Amino acid sequence: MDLAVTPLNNVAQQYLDHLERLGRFLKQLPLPEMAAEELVYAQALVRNYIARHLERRHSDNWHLAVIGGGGAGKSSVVNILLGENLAETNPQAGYTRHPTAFCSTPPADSFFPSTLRAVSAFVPGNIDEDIYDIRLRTRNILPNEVIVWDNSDVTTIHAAHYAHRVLEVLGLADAVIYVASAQRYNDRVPSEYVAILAKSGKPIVTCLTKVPPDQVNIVVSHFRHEVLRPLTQQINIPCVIIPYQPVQQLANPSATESYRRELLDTILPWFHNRQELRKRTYLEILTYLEAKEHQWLEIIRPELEAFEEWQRVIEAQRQMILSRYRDEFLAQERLAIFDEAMLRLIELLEIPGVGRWMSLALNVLRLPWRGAKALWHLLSGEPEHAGPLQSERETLSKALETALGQLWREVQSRRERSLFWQRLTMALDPGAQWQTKMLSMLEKYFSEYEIERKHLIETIACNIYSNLQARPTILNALRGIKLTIEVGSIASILVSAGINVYDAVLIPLATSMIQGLTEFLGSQYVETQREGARQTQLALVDKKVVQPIFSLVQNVDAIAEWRQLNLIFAELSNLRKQLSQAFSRPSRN
Amino acid sequence: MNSNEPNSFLKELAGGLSLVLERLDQWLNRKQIWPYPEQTLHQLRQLSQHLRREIPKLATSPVYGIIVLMGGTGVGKSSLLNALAGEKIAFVSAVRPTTRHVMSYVHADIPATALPPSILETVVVHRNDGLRYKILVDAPDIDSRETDNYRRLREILPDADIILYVGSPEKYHDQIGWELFREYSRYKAFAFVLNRWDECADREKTGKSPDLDWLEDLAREGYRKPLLFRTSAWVWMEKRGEDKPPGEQFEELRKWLEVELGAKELVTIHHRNLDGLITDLVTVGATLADSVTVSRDDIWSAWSAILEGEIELFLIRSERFLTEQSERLEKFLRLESNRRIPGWLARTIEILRGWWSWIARPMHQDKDLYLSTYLMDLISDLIQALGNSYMRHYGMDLTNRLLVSATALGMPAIALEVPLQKIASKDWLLFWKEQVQSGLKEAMESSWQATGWKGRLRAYAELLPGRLCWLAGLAGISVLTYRMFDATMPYSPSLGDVLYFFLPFLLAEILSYSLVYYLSPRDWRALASIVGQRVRQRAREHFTRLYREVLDQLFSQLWEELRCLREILESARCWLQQIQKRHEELEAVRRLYREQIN
Repeated sequence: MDLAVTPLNNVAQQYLDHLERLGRFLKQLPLPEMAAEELVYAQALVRNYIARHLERRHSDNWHLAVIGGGGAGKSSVVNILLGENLAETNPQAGYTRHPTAFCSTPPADSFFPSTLRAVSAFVPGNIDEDIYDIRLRTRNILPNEVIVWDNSDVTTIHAAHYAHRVLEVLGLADAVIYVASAQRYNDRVPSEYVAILAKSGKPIVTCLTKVPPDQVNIVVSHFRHEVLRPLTQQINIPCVIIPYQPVQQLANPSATESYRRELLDTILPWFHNRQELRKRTYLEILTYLEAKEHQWLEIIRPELEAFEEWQRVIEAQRQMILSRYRDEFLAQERLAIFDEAMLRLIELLEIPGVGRWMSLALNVLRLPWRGAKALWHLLSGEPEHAGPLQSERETLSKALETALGQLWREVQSRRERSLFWQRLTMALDPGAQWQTKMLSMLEKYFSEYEIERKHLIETIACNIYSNLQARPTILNALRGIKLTIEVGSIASILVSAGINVYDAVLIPLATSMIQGLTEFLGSQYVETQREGARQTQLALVDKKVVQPIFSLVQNVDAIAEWRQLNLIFAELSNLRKQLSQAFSRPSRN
Repeated sequence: MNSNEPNSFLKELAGGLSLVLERLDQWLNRKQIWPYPEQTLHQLRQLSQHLRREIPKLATSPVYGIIVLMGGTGVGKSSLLNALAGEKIAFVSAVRPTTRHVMSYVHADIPATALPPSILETVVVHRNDGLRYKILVDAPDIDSRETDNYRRLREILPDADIILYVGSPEKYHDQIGWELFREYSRYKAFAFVLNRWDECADREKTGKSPDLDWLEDLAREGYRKPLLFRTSAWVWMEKRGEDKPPGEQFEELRKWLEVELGAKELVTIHHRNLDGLITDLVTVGATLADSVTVSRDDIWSAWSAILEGEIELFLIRSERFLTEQSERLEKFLRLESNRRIPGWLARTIEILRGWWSWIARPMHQDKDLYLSTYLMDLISDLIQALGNSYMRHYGMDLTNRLLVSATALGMPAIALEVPLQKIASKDWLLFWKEQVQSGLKEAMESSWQATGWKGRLRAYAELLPGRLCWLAGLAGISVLTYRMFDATMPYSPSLGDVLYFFLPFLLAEILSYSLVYYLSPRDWRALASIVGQRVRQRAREHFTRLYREVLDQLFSQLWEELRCLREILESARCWLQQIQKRHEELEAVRRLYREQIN
């Protein structure tokens, strides 16, 4: 049993961790009304309800929380319910500033291990600290397991300081008494709280206090039909009416007997059915959390979209750098080492050793070919353009500088759109030396790259002839074919025309043509290799220089939180599903 | 009410302020050069709108005051109005919220046209002369679920002169009301009413009572002695004030409204409200003007450095190309030197060369054209090579660097983006080509000019080819003639005597040609460096013209914009001083405002 429970508790803890992270992020955004409160409430629900039931912590206790607007009479209602004046009532609106628990026996350990501190001694209600106060009941009206919570208000100017304590208790509560006064029953803020409670499946009983005795009917029907029903989407929210009366009368337990009975009639059946009710609430909380996740996702969506857009912007600039590198440098880079490789290749095709003499003879015969080449070179006149006019490093750093500047401009032109762009604008500001840092990183990556590049290109160039060298069979076959063709053509000329003057023209012509053809084929092969080497070099630059730089750009500290957002939502929904599947197990005893 | 003097000033003020506001609105609606912080602009717009609502009220004679009852639902605003009116004019009920309309309680003598339209939804006319110049407005609540009510209240608040913050023992310091109070406490007079005072009597006597708690809250906001009335409107409506709870102050409230709040007080309240608004307007406007912190000279010096760097880079890149292609330049110099040397030898060489080179390129009839085409080709090749590599994205790179450096100095990129992009799309290759071409042209002129000892010598030597040879030939013939007629030496004419003419003729021409050729500029590096200097100078001029103009234009517009704003603020400040000069320090009025917490 326990084995099954522990990991589930972990799941709840993980869910809570993600929720807290999300909460920290959300707080930086402009939130719709109540969204901040709901965020705290969702955390409280997971911490104090979901986790508590999975852990089976305090599972015997049944919590009943009292909430309402300032001065509505929460403490009075608590006293009515307890049948004794334990809660401090005070004329000052917003007097109570921390929750108070009314128990029959002192609880064994804290209800809020990580948030509120338990204080057993008497503490005045207006102490504004993260504590809760425990008071013991003397009368035996409620079952021992029931713990009643008196809360601070949610409406006054100080409420912002202690609203999170109210929400903490509301998360814990198994049922809620909502106290509305005749003045406050249609107020916006307390109503929002009721709506949230209803949505998260907490059973609610309402107390309408201070109703003018002559207008009870009209007020109650208005409250029931125009306020409670649209707020909770439930038709039969129980409502106890306490007409206006002086405080001395309210403080008299015997005078309030009828209200107490009415309250107990609603609450006690809930208490007796608590197992079933708890299961229902548990599942409804999960539904509520699902809805909230959607809402938060909607709030965050512009941020996520901004993040995605940023990825696209970065990618576009990365492609830009690569294409500039290709056009401005690589396309003009001759890779002179391949010219050398070409010479070596042609040399290699000549016969070594004894055949050298034959080669020499052929070489003499090929004089017209060499003469034609020299003449062509002379006549075409102008020197070949030797290569790109700026070095590889200069090309890259210039392209990067422009890309960084453009990134920054893209970012800052969007800075009004969302928090994401605002953060990035600050982080990428030229005044912050970010560009300079990136350019110096380029220098570093580039020197690493250069070593590798030299090696890689040399290898490709050498492979042109060393591959052949390594395979003597193929090499010799090629040599043989070439020699056969050459000798064959000479022989055929001699045979067909006989030995005469024309041979002196025809034989050099034929050998020249064969040599020309060989060189053409060889150069085709070398050019293919050269193009391949360019591609390899481009890929290497991308891998060794551009990508590392851009991964730095992508991982700017300022947007670290955004990278996790998608993950958080996926995790939340995954964990929530585990929680909802798992409930049946612990509840089955 | 003999209050002519303050009234005439208020009228003058209304005219002056509306002029100021008109100019301010014009300024705000104009497309601005500088991207001012949106939030500050919004603040300024709001303040201008608030002030605009104040102006029509100043022009009325005599001055009246609009008193808006503000508070949560159920605190008894309508009951209070009824009690003040002494009759049931506003609907009162326990159903929350009750009031959904704005109701104004106006004296019959005040024409509706003199009132702001926002409060004219429902008007109840009365003949209570005590309230003749005071208009009481019962507004919808601020805190019920009917958010529309809150919106409507916000619409009428700018028209209020005095806001009567009505609270009850339950709702005297609710968050929503408090935020509104804070927002308006700088621009409006505030008095406070704790209604339903009778309910306090029913409460326990322990702890702090709501009125004292409220006073403490107000003291924290700077209201040391606020005007707070504890009332029980319900008692006054139902029981005509009989057995009112102890400490009830409804009568004081009525007295304050009807008697103590006189014309003098109302005028002072108008003054103080305007004072608050205009002070804020001037402060916000000044922060707006001060948000522009950028110096044109700083940007220009940064830009100059970048542009200089660009020129140097161009020259370095060009030199690299020319070093590769130095043969072409050398050949050109040889041809050009030859072309510039007079005499038949130079012409002959030219013809021979032309004959030789027909294989490589078509012969040109016009020698000048041939040469310049040759050079143009070289320049085109240079520009093409540059355009293929580092000038491929020249405009983009340059614009980017300029923008980044300007923004690093505090200039918002948005302001510069458009004009710079316009320049960036220029044909930069053509630009540089022109610079090089004209630089070369000038360099060519100056290279062959008679400057320096070499040049001067060359200028003299240039007289020799084609002339000296004839002299030498004649001298040879003279020698021959002398020999012919000199009897001391026997002479027999032969064919070889022709050499007496031709040999000196030829030698002299070769000598003089070589001399001039030697003195001609033939070092391509020297030529290139002269061209470089010319290009540097010309490019600098062009760059300055292009970019300096952008900067100048932008800044002149910006200064104009700021000057305009400062002028508006100055005139607002003038009116502010006038208001403050006329300020009467009335104790009764001072209590309605937050005290300066220094």
